[in-house]
Amino acid sequence: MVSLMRIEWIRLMKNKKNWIILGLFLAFVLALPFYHNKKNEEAVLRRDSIYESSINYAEIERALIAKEYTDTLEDFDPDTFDEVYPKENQIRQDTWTRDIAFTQKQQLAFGRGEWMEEAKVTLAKDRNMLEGLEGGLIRERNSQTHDIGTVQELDNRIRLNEYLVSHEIMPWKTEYEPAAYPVLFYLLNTVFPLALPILICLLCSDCFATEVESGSIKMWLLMPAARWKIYAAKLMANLLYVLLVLAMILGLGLAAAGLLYGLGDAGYPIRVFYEDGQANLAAGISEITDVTVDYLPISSVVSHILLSDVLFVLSLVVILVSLGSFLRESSTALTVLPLLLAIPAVLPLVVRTGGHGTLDRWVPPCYGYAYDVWIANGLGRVYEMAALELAAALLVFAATSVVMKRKDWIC
Amino acid sequence: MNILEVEHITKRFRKKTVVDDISFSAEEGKVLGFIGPNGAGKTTMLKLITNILIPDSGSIHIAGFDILKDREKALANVAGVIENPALYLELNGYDNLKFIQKMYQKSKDDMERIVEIIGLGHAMRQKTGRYSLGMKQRLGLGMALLADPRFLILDEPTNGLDASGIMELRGLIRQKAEEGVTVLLSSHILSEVDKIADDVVFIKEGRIIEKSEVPPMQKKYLVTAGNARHIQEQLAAMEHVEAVLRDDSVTVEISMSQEVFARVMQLVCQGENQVQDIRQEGTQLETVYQDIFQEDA
Amino acid sequence: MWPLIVQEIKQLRSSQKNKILILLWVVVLLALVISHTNSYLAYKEQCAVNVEDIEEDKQRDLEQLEGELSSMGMSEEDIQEILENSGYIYDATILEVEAIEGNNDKKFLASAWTYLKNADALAESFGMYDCKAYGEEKVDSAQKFRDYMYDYYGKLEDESGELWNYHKMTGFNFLYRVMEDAMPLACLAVAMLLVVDSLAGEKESGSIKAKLLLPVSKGKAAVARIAGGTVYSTVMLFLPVLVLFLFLGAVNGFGSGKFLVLEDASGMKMTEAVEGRLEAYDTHEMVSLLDSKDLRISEKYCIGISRFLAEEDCKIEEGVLPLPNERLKFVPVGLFLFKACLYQLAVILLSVSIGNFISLFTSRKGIAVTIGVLAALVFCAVSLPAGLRLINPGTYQSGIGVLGGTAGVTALDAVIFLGISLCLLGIGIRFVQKKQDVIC
Repeated sequence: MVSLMRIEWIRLMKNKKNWIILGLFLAFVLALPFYHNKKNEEAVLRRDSIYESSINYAEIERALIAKEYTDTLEDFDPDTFDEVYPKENQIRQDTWTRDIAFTQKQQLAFGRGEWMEEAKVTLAKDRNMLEGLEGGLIRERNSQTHDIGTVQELDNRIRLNEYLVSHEIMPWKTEYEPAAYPVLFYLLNTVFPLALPILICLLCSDCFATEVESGSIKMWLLMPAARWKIYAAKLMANLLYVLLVLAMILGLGLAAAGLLYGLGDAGYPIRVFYEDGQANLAAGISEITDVTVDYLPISSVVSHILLSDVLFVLSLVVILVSLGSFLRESSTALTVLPLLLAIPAVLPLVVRTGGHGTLDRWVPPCYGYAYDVWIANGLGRVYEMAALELAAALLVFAATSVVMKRKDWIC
Repeated sequence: MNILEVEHITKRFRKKTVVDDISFSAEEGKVLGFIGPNGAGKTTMLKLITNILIPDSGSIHIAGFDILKDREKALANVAGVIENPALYLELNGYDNLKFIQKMYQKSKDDMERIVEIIGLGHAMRQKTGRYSLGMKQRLGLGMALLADPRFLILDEPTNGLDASGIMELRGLIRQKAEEGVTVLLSSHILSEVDKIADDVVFIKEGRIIEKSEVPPMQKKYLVTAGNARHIQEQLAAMEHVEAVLRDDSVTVEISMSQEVFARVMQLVCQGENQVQDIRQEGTQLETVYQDIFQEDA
Repeated sequence: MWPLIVQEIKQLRSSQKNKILILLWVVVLLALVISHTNSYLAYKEQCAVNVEDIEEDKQRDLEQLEGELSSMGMSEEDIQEILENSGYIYDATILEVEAIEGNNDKKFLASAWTYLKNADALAESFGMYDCKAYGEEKVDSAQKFRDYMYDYYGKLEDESGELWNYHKMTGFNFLYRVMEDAMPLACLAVAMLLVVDSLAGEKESGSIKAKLLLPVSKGKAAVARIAGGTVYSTVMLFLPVLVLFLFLGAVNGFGSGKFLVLEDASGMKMTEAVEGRLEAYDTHEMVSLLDSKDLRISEKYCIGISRFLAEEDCKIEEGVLPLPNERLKFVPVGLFLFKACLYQLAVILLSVSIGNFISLFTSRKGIAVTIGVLAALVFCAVSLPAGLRLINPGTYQSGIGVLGGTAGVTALDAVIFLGISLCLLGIGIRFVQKKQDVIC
């Protein structure tokens, strides 16, 4: 069987189509750090204006309170208003005063590149605002228009900054930090869920179909080997090939980002949280969330994702190669199978079941967020997901081997 | 000993029976010709023998091993070219040969020897997609030979070959037969099969024509003579000889027998017979083929 | 040239891949119908409240309110006025429930008017625009918004007095949804995938030799190929839509023969400026100003408009007056379909041209299809409603919506697509003519 695998390996390595796919993905991955760097620089420019408007907003709120306080004093009627009302106003005004001071310090630290100072000041500011929110002194605001956010958002930011400060880790400006670790995380968490199935489809779904079309399958069938061994050998070679391609894509991306912008901190915390009952990973700090589960270091998260992806790749390669073995045209395999995989992701965009254009996130468990569930739900879930994927792969392999034995190859 | 035993093989595609209860065998070291009109089921039969297709009923044994149950052992002794050569068009000749080399653990010297035999030395570094039909055929043959099989299956091997190629192939097949390799040769070029096959199987509409139904192979000669009538009368008197007068020539049909042939030649060439020309007309096989498949023609 | 076109169509029709692609397209259409029907049923279920319960709540709450107002020392006349105005919200809810149960569009409208009456009444009675902290301008804007909503509901009622009901999967609603949601993607991606391997496949199998031996110029052959591909893609994409349209029409009725369209999506703006603050309020903010004591400006009535009001891509910006309602109009379905189909045809032509163009550069089917799949993915990514657009917003994806208004915009797009297709064809012909060897 090793000889058979070697033959398939040579065929894969010499396939021009595969090199084109690899080339395109490599180009994308090599361009990614530059793109991220540009986004980060834009964030720097934007951050200054956010601080400006934040100070402006805080000053207005303080002025309004002062006016209200003044008005209230003029109209003060001890029988009608609560005695603590003026004191409450004073506390509210003090809160905003502190907010202005913190924001000014933030801006200063940001301008000088003093990231630790900035993180500490952000921490103090958020604690200040959280007290105000929890005390009912100030209202929650949409974090996209103002910097305050909700109680949950503030809590998340406080926990994040506490972690960063205590571990002396430089905060990312945005999720588009161009260093190696962040780029790797971005690739695995954002790009791969969509790109991976398509990449695998294009690389190996036409494994059998092309050979049947060209007639070269006869060479395989004339070899002194059981049919299931021929199938297994092709499968194994394709699996190893896909893993090699992924390693190249990730490795080169990592190398490019690392050489240009540094490795980044392996301990940077990634927040694991639930949204609409589904676990997610986030590097940014601006999403609205229900509850944060944990902060895990990025190195640990990345290793979880990689391992999960290997299992995902295994099951997907088995399924695609097996399905592809029943097709006689390579173009059918290359077109239909990616579409079949894309349907769970694309269908919600076409057939809106929610109102107002919301996207339903109905994806099969293995499709992209398995590792999120894995990480969020702990070890028990780890074995469950892995077992599910491996079971699916074994089942498909066994079924196809049985079918292979009695299959007529029309070529 | 029979290297190939085909017993009661039947194959249906949807409702059409393409191979109907076929049984035959191939002796070791012999060249077995496989002959039939287009759509008779020859290639299907070859694919059934090599387990590319699965028979609906019957059994096939190669070197004593059942092709369905012991595929590995059965096919360990088999190589060939079925229908058209199984090549990777985007790879060059060497790369294609390397697959066989690695599978059958042959050395580079073996590969070079085969390259020399098939005469493609100059083109081996080119992509096979750019090969002519004959070059592809040669390479396919080379891949089959590199496997060094005991049982060689050739489906239309002369397809696209030039004259020298055909002659070389003929010599190669005979050589292999002498080495003890069994060759199953399916071809439309009856003259070639006639020259090299030891035995012939006729297949028609998915069925084997029984040997009893095969008319005897006869040589046919065209004798041109000044007194053709005289020769015709003399020959007609001989046993196993049928002589027909045609203008100034006589068409003589003789049963396959060296002795009879010798007597005929003696008679024709002696005395006042002004024999101007003796030519063999057609091959034995063509004659038989016409007789069997005449209605289809 | 006509035999060549027919030949191309037959070839495309016999491809296993194309048969499966069309089958998947039909599945998507069926899924669209099913999901829309499901959401309509879910909406109905959501609104399935017992009318008697509402009546009871009304009774109880009004009695309580009466008691509170009396204890505040209000006059009887004022109390009765407030009670009457507060009753509107319950009346509106009852009307809405009855409308859904009876599938009665007129009752929907009546319910909507009643909600608005309630908003007015409460605003006046309780002085809910008394937002001292935000200054006078916000009050003024809220009132403008309310005026706008009155006007808007008036527009929703078409000439026949029916409310344009977006939710029911009638024949025309299905057409509208398909043309807006599914067809753009299909015309871009599926049309290209149907034809991308045609030329490459012929080169690979060698069957192109038969065509090359014909006494036809390579240019004509290229035109025939694209024409055949366009005809085939158009028929295969539109035929299932037509069949489903007729089927739904027979089952659910064809529905209103008019479509509500918004002339200019980008013109949807509202303003708020308070004491020098540069702030952007989204419509939730605006609605929340009116929002008090269970008042809901029910979004299910804001059909074309609410997509702009409630969705993220509508930001309310500084300095522009509220949208003039004359931009809302009903367009006859015939006109809509004519323009939409013309537009989609141009897109199909473009996709087919791109697909054949890709096929020109390789004689390997696998490579052509791979590039085609990647190109289709890129096109979809830049055209999906979630994010970017192939062309500017308001032209492509919203092009259908724009059709009711300035026809020039959509026509310009179609002309652009046609132009690109012709360029590709020209380059292809030139390339084919120049490249003498067809390796097959």
